Amino acid sequence: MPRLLPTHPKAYTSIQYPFADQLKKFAQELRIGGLFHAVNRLRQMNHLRVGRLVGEDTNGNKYYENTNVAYGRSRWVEPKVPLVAFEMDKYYDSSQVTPEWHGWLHYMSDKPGPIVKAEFGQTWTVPHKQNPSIDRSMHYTPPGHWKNTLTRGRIGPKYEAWAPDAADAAARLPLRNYSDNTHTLRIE
Amino acid sequence: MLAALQARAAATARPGRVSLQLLHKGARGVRSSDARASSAVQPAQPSQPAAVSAVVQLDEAGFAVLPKELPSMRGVDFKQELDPRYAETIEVIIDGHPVQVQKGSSLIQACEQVGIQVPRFCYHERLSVAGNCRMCLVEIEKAPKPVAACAMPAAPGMKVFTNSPIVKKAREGVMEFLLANHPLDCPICDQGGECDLQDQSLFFGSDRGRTTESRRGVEDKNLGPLVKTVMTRCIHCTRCVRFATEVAGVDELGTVGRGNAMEIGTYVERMLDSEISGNIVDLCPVGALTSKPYAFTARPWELRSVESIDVLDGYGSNIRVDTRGGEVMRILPRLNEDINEEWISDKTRFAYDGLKRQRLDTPLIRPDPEMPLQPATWKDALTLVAQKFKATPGARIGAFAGPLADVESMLALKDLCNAFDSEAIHCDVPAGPLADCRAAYTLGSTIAGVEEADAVLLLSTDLKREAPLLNARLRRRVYHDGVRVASVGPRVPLTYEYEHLGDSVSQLLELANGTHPFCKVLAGAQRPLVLVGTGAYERTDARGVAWAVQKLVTSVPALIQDGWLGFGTVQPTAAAVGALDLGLTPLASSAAAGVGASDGAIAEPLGLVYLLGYDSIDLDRLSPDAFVVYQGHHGDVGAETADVVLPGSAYTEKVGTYANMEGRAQRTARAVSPPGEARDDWKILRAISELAGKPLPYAGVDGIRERLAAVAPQLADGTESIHAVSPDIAKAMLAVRASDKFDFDTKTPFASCIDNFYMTDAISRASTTMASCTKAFAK
Repeated sequence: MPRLLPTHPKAYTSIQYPFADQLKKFAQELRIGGLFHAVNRLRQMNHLRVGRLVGEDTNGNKYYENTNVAYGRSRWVEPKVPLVAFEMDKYYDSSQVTPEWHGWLHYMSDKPGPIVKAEFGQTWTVPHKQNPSIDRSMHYTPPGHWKNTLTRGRIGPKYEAWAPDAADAAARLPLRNYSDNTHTLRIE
Repeated sequence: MLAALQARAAATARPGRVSLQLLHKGARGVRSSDARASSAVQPAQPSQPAAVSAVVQLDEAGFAVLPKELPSMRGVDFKQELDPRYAETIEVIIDGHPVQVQKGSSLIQACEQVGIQVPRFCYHERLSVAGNCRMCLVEIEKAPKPVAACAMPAAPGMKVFTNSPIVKKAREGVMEFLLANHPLDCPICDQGGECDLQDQSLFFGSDRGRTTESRRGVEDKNLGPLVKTVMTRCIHCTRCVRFATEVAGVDELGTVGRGNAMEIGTYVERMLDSEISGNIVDLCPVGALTSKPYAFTARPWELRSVESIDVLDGYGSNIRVDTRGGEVMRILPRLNEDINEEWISDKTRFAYDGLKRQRLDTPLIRPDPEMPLQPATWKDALTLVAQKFKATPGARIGAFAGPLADVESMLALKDLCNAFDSEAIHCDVPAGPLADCRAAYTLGSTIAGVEEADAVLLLSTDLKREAPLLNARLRRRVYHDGVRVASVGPRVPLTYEYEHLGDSVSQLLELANGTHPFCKVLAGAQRPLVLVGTGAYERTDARGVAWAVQKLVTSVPALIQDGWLGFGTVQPTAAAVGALDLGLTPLASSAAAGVGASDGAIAEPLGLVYLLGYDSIDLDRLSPDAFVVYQGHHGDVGAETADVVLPGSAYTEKVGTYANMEGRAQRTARAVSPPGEARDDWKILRAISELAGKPLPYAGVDGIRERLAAVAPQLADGTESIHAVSPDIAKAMLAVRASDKFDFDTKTPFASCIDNFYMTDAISRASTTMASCTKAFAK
């Protein structure tokens, strides 16, 4: 009987098991924060990643770094969201990143937030505020928009007709004024 | 080609130069591949004529053996022979191409002549050379550093490079310095899209700046209601300063400070009081000076442009009407060297908002004399007017054409009235007794010809207000050549020095009798010029004044000679010359501007008064039972008095012929539609004739132009040329009888025919911009 060569070890590729990597990372997230935490991560990001926790800012955002991945993807922020959140995108926005962490996050410097604050922080700076229009109700809609109850103003005629009667002349709309939209947009 | 060569050689044969000859009879041709011999563009020629071979040698094959350059080409410069202008050329090598440019031109002009555009900000061909923007730097061979092309005269043999690496680097550096203090506010700048700095920074500038310093801030200046200033955008090209000083003749703009602290402005806070101040908006290469009424209303790429003619004064400036969505957004000048060059007056430029106010957009009928006008249909209004035409005897029909009437509508009005046996068709022109002589009521010298005059007499005119651009031309003549100007009339600033001889008729009579000292100046001049304002004929003694003017004109022989007609009237309205050409009756004097008066004689009170845009009606002389029809585009005095109002079109809304003060017929173009129910003016008159049962013999625009060609061919040819009056005819018509005696009013001074430059007609009276100008500038 001929001696059989040992079988070649089986190679696994990501094509054969496309979710193997993600499943592994999901398992890691499960280990870190439990089921809700892992599901929230999936909802916020289009792929899961695991890294070193660099720090946390005053808004509760956590800053991570994984130096094993490519430059440009190696730093990220995980915003603080409630454990049970129905509309996830109502709770986080890029403006929640505080100024002292902004430079680190965008590779402008390698100094994390607390060091930046210690070095460059001034006593007179105004506390950071996030963009208030995260909430849809805060979004601006011009007059005439379907969500705005205020109707759009009338732009006025292209020319002013001569009226023999002074009373008619007084009752007319003013001539349109392109350089001023106060009346058309009803800006107070 | 051989024949052509022989012909050229023969034509240019001179003693000492031998023309081309062929000895061999059977020569099959000249083997010359020198394409330059037949090309239209001549390359540079050696300045010294070389030795010319007498005969042509033939080779073995029988072809002529010619030198590399043809003898005729070496010896004779055809251009210099044929065109005397080329005798004044020199050779310059631009970017490696030897080219002929005019002697005395600067490098920037030399490049322009051969089609190379050198970028520039401060250089402008109608202003003096400042040389301070440094954008036109070019490289000259053997020059140590780049030189400004606008300030460097072209010299023979100069080798110029306009696109070398040094030049590109120099331009980039200049642009970087210009942008160092220029705000980045293109999105909110009115010059955006038509900004020289924007364009040139795109083409010649760097893609990034290196400055980290904070930008300079400059306080905005208040130049009045027309020009908006954002002085941080200024790059100190000083075009506005040079225009104000050199062309407009006001010294109010200037520069203060040096270096980084330099500012353009009025030295003490005051407004720019000039009738042509709006041109600095066009001159400004950046957005520092922009149009105040146009501010934030439109972007240049939204606009649709139509080339037209201005009719708000008698000058006939060529304009470009920019419209958007059926609205006139702005008016800009169009180049015409014979008339307005590239300037326009402020009324021309800024009165366009009057086209949007007080408009007549529907026919109106007054049902009862006590009641206000009521809107009506065209059918009702036209039928009513036609009935009145039928019912009124011809002697009681009178028509009056206003200052904005076009030639076609005046012709239709005249034909309509003539069809109903009326001859009382008046026009709003105080031409007085000289209304039959075209040489007297036009500007015989032509507008451009004013610059050929060497002694000028102004009579009863404030030229700065009546024709600001004509005054600017005269000012140039005074400043460059020291032409003597004298005036009998109002003592007003004309932006140049002139001799004020007085403002009374007695000075005119002295001039007419030859006893005044200025007569010697006129008599000694080669091309004297007498300009009469129509204010001279608005007087009670207009006939006497006209007689004195005629006497003055005939007493100076050089005033009317072959090729020079040095006598003319400055007509203040666009309709004047056209109306007089058509034979409309002028109003003899302002006292006769009422209704029913022709040349001072009242025959019978008029029963039907037809006003074609005529607003200066004398209500006291209007018969109470007169039926007044007003046809026009603006609600003014005429419309208020009318029993029927027929809405017509303004000059931006119709194609109409207008003759300017020199008698040049030009056509407006239709830029927007007339508002509402308004129609073309001559068509309204044609419709009335149809309903009244005597239809005019033309139904289309071609028909009325044919009719115009029959009545006044000088207005109909459409070539925009001037039909000059023959000196013999002018002399015969201006001859005076010695026996004439007149009563002269020596107490009333000669006055200008307009008192407020900004409000002279229905359009400018309706304009709010002109109202604010009146408030700011009018005395």
